[in-house]
Amino acid sequence: MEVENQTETKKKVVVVEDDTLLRDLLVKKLLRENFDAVGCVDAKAAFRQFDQEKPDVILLDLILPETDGFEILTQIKASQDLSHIPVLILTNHGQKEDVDRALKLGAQDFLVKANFTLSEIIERVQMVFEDQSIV
Amino acid sequence: MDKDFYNKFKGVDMNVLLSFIAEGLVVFDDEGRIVILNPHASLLLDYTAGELTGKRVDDMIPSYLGKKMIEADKRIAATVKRGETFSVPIDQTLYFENQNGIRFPVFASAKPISLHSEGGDVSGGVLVFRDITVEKELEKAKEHTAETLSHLTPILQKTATGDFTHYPELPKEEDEFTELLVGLRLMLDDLRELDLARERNEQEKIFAVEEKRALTEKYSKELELEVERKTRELSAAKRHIETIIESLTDALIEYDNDFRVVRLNDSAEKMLGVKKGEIIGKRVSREDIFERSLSALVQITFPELSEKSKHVSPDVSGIEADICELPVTYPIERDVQIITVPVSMEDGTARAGILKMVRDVTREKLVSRSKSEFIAIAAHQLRTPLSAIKWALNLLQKGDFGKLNEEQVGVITDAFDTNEKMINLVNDLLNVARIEDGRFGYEFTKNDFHNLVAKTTSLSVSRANQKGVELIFTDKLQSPKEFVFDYNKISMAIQNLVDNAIKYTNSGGKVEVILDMSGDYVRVEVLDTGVGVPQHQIDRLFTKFFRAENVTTLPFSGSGLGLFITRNIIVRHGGEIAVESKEGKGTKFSFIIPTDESLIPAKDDIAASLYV
Repeated sequence: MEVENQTETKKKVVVVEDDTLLRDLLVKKLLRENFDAVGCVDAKAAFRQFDQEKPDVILLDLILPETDGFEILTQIKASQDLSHIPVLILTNHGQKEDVDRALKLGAQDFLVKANFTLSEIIERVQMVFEDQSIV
Repeated sequence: MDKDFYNKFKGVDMNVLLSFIAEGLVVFDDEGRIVILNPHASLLLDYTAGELTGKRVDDMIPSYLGKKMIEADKRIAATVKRGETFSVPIDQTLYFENQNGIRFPVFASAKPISLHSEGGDVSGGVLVFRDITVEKELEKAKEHTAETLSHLTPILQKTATGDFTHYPELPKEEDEFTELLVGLRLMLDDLRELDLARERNEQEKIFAVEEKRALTEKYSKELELEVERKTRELSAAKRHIETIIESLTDALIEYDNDFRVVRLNDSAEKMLGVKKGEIIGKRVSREDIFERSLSALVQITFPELSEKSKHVSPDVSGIEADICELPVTYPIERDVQIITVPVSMEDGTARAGILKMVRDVTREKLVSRSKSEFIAIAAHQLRTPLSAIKWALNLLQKGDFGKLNEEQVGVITDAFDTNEKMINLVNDLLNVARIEDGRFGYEFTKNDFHNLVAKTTSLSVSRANQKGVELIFTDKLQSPKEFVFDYNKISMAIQNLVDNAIKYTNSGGKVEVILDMSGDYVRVEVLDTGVGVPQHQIDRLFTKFFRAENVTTLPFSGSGLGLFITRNIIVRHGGEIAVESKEGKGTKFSFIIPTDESLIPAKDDIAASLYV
């Protein structure tokens, strides 16, 4: 019952990050923090995951091979099935234009990787659900 | 005459009658002996009648013609005896000499007479004479006058012509003219004096005129020299300026108000691919843009024709000028910056023309593009591995991969802190690059400044405590203060100042943040009791990469970018930042920013001036 309950309440997080080390560290941390986390390396893998996993939150990098984060975000927000999923941008491009563009496209939050520890990132992810529960 | 009177008259004594005659009358006989004489004759001759009667006329009356005694045969009685009349020859004067030897001029005439008397006929002569002394004198006087006048005439004539140098001579003896002549001489003296005065005056006038002329000549000579000197100076200055203009690496083009090219320097020829000879005097028109060889000239003349032309913010120099940038394709592809300034008339009233300075900014553009690329690369390529290290060390530190001993945690923490410094340095570099790119991304919104300062200060409390530095927030505002500013940037600025203060203050020291109002501005002061800044370096404090010489040896690292960024933030808000410091005693940073939104400068006014 307890286990079942745990699985039920476990939030599914899809991490879209092309840097292997960063992706592994983040997924590891999310799993340790009791999230159901999956990492993907590019847009193709990401959309396959979105369809399969129906994530509760998406952590999205901006610089990715072929299709970049802005394009993925645009597609998420354009998709009837996915548009409701909160997207946190996790990038090292912290320029205001990037932030503005991402928020305008519907991103929930914008985090500069170098300025956050994993613990702080987890806090931000948790904040998304807290906000949702308030709503 | 009636018979009666005649008879009566016959009875009158002849002598009595003769005595009434006003002329001398002498009757003499044919021997020349004086028979009768009238009283007037005896008076003139100074004899008594008795002394003369019976004496010979020619003896008793010595006669002279002029000074010469008349010869005996030509004397009165002798002449009459021959039956002739004695008279005075014309042009000569006859003189009689009286008893006292005095000669006097006379008019005399003697004629033979024959008288019938009772005693028989007597023949003889009668002499009538008259003293003509007065007449003679009159005549003499007349002659003298004439002579004097004849002397005077030429003098007077000369006088009439203005020549006053000739004097009438004064007679040796005083005469009736003496007074007149003396008067004349005096008058001539006066006239001559006057004339001399006039001449002197005239001379003086001439001198004055001469002097004036000489002076004028001198002045005009000096003026001429001065003009010559100035002209030389001017032409030297002009050559100097010409040389400068010609050797400018920037192209310089001057137009009149009709866009006719007045001047073009060497660099302009090269940069625009035109020839001076063909362009000077030519009116640049918009249609020429289709002429390839003129396209660059037309483009820089009328930048608005270029789609890619863009205005840039004014220069720090303060010159009021229009600056824009655009790419040209002729003679080669390059980016140019065009500074357009009106040329004023000398009196500054009207526009005399237009001056354009064209600078080849191709390289700068390239550098600028490289910088933007660097930002992207630094952001991604540099921060990605730094993030990985940060995350990994953080996981280890927090014991995510198993509990570490104290020593291990210490090492990991040091590594984490070092990595943090790297990240901060990269962040600072990125901020500076963005500031210089004009893309720092300011976002002005209405916020509570009081809350901002309190919150930002509290963020540094733990750091201060760790270091053993007391951090005090002195809030003189005590109430919310809402106005428009960039919350994150001001927070960054305050954090920079507070972190610096903590960093450079030794354990046991104090850092104080004071919030106050200063008119329509809020004032934030950050005071510390730290190492201070050497006086001679204080002006360089806000420049990029500057670190004071007294901190480079300290075991604190710093990018030297924090204060540059802080100043940028304050200035961008229309505020000011100042610093006071005493080495070894401490430092006080204070800044003010306006609470009135209208005092925040428009971005364009400020971007360029921040390229410090």
